[in-house]
Amino acid sequence: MHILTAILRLYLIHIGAFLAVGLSTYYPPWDILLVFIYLLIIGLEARTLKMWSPGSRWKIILAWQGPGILLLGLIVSNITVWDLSNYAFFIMLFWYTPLMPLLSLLPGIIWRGWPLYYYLLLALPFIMAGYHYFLSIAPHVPGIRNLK
Amino acid sequence: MKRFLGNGKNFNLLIFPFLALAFFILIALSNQHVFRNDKAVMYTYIKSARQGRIGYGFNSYYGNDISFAGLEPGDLILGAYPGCAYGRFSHAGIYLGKGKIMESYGDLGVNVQSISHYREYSEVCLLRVKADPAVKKRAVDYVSKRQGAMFYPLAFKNGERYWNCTKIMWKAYFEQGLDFDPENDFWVAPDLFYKSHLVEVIREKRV
Repeated sequence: MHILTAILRLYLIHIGAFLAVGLSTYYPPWDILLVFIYLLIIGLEARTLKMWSPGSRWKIILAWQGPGILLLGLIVSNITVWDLSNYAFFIMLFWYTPLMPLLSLLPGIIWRGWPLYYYLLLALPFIMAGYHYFLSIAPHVPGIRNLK
Repeated sequence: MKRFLGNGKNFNLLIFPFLALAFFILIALSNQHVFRNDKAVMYTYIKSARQGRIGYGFNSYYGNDISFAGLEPGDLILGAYPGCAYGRFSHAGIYLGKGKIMESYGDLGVNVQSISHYREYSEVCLLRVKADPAVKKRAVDYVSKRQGAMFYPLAFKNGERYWNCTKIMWKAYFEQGLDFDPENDFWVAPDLFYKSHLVEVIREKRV
């Protein structure tokens, strides 16, 4: 599998999950079930990279999480022109729709003015990058089949 | 294409489009009235997008000097920036008393703010819900219990895990038997509160 194919597959899965999870929020708690399917499928995709070099894996992961990292940069930069930081947060909420149901389960704790989900959303690019990388290097995950 | 989808990996790529289609069909079949309603929020948004308007409009500090005198707990506050894509008003909150409002916003979730922040809007409207004070108090209690809950811009009216600025107000009063969305749309636009027969305008001001 070519590196671009691996990236494209992750994007297609993510966009498909964006639509499916977004629509499933109309029928709670189906959205929560779909998050776990999303994480499982991302895990399966990660497993297909276990023979790849660390450099190739990181290229794929960074390309996949690129939009999230870019949006995070815009949010923390606090750019007020065209309300860019604010809109970046809205877009980030949309971009991570496949994981929103998990964030929605968090308790309504507010720390330093922001709710818990705010911090976790900003951390998602790194959490997902770590999740993908861990599964791509793990020697064996019981119950997860190597699809390569 | 065969090479791209091959080796038993089709499932990973196809499962979510399939589920999305299934959920869309289910939602569409059970909500045909929304698709037939040309005033539905989604059509308003699509129409605005065609005219180049997206989002909540041109955010700035407009210094609206409307008086907040005489507000009672349970009253509703609407704010507008010019160029909002989903109607005249872009934001909404419910008055808690003592100069505080409860609202829902992107990074802050369901949160308490000072009412003075509505001075940033170019248009502000204060609405009184025509209901018994006990009903309004229960609505205030309902929203107060949800502080810190999650904001999601396209929160459907179903469920209590995702909120936006209007859903929380709609739900607070819906639980008390007052429905600000008799057309039963997917989403509640701030304008619906303004147009509802369940409220009277206390005052409004455009700068």
